[in-house]
Amino acid sequence: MSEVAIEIKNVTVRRNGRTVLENVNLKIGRNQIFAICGPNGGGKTTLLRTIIGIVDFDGDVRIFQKTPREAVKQGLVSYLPQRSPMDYTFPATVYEVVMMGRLKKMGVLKIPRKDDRRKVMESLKLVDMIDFKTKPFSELSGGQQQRVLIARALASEAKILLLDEPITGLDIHAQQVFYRLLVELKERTDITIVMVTHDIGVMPSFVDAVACLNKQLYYHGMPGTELNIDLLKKVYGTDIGILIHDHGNP
Amino acid sequence: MEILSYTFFQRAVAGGILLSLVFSLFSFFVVVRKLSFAGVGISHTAFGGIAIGILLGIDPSISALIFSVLIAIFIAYTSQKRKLHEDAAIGIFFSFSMALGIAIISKFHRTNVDIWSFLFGNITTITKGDLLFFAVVTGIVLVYFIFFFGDLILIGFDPEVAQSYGVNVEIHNYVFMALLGAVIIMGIKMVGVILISAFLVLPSTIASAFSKSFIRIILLSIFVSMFFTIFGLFLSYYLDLPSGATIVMTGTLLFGLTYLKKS
Ligand SMILES: Nc1ncnc2c1ncn2[C@@H]1O[C@H](COP(=O)(O)OP(=O)(O)OP(=O)(O)O)[C@@H](O)[C@H]1O
Ligand SMILES: [Mg+2]
Repeated sequence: MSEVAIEIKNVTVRRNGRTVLENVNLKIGRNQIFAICGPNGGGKTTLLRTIIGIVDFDGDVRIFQKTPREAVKQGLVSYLPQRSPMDYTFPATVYEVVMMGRLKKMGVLKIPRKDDRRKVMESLKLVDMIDFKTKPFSELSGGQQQRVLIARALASEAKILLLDEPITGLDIHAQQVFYRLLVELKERTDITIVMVTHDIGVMPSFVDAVACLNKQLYYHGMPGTELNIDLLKKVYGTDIGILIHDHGNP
Repeated sequence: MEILSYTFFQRAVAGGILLSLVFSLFSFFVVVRKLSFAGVGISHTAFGGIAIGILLGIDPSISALIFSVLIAIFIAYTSQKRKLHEDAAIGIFFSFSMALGIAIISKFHRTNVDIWSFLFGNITTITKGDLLFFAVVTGIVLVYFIFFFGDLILIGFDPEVAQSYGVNVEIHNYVFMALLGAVIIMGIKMVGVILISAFLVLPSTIASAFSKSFIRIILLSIFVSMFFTIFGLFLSYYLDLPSGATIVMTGTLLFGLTYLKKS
C-alpha cells in the first residue's frame, strides 16, 4: 500500500446506547478497490457515514490527512447511499440528477458551465445511460436509477467513492458492466473506491482488499486464500450455511 | 379596464404578483418534500396567533407572524428529532390553535376586527404597509432561494446525499420552515387561513403535469400561479365574488383541466 487514502483509528460508534462499531482500525490505500462485507446490521453503512462525518464517533478518521468535514467541503468524497429505488419521487431528468453531482463545484447561481456539461455527458456514457438523458429519473427501473446515481458520483470528480451496496437492483449483465467500470476507473484515474457488498463470490476477482465487519473488524487484508469459510462463519455467525446455499441458487 | 384605476385593485395586483412568485418557489419544495400538511398546519395555527393579537390589543398580523414562525420551527424540530411523528404534531397543534383562537375571540370579541377576512382573505384591506411587508419577505425569500438553490435541490432529492456534500440539512430545515411561516402570513392577508394551502400545492402540481425537469417545473409554476392569481382577481371583480375564493377556484379549475388533458 503506497499512500493511505482513508485512515480509521480506534473508531467507536454508539447509537441509542448500543455499540454499533467497536474500536475499528482500518487503512484504505489510495487507488484501491476496497470491499466491506458483513451481516445485516453489522455496521457497514454506519462506517461509511462515519467516513463522511455524518455520525458522531469516538476515535479519529482521516481522509488524505483531513477530517471528514474538511474532506467533504473540498469535494474529495462522493457517497452513494444504500437505497431502495422506489424511494425516489423527486421530479428530475436523468441529466439533472447527474448534474447534481456538479452542484458543489458551480458558482453561486448554479448555472452549469461547459466543463460541467461535458463531465455529465462523460459520466452518462460510462454507465451507458446517455440515451436516457432527457427521461424522467423517477420513471426508470431500479437498476437504471442505480446506474444514473453512479454517474452522478462519477461526475462529482471526487477522489474517493463510497458506494453502499451499489449493485442492488442491477441485473447480472449490468453487474458485470459495473464491476468492469470500477476496474477501468481505478486503472485510468487515481480514484479510491470503497464498496459495501454482500457479493462475496466475486470479491477476490478484482478487489484489492477486503474488510469484514460485524460491530468489530473481523478481517482486513487481501481477499482470496484467507477469506475462508471459517472466517465467514465467525463474521456471519451460524447463518453462513444458509448464505452459501443461497449463493448457489440461480 | 377602469378597475385598474382603483388603488385597492392596484395593490391587490401588486400583492398578487409578489405572492404568486414567492408561493410558487415554495410550492415546488413543499410538494416534493411532502410538506403540504405542514403548510395547512402553519396557516391554521396563525389563527391562534391572530386571536392572541386581538386579546393583547396588538396588530394581529404581528402576533400571527411570530406565532406561526415559532410553530413552523417547532414542526421542523419534531420531525428532526423524531420524538413524535410530524403529522401527529401538526394535527395536534393545528386544532389546538384553532380552538384557542375561537375561545379567545368568542370571549373577547371586538367588533372592529373582521374575523371573516382572516379566514378567507380580503384584498380590499391590503394597505401600503402590507405591501411593504410583502416586498421585504419576497426579497428575503428570493435571496434565500438563489443562494441556496443547489442545497435545496440536493436536500429535496436525497437528504443523506446532501449531507455528504457538506450541506447542513438540519439548519436548512429550520430556515425553510421559518420562512414558510412568514410567507404564509403574507398569503393569509390575500386569501385567508383556510384557502392559503391552495397556493402552496397548486402551482407546482399543475406545472409538474407538463414536465419532469425540476428547472422547468419551477419556472413554469411561477407563470401558473401568476396566471391564476391575476386572472382570478379580475374574475372576482367582474363576477362580484370574494377574491380569495375566486382565485382558488380558478387555480383548481386549471389543475382539473391539466390533469384531464393528461389522462
Ligand atoms: N439512525 C440510527 N439510530 C439508531 N440506530 C441505528 C441507526 N442507524 C443504524 N443503527 C443501528 O446500527 C446498527 C448498524 O446499522 P448499519 O445500517 O450500519 O448496518 P449495515 O451493516 O449497513 O446493515 P445492512 O446490511 O442491513 O445494510 C444496526 O443495529 C442499527 O440498528
Ligand atoms: Mg447498510
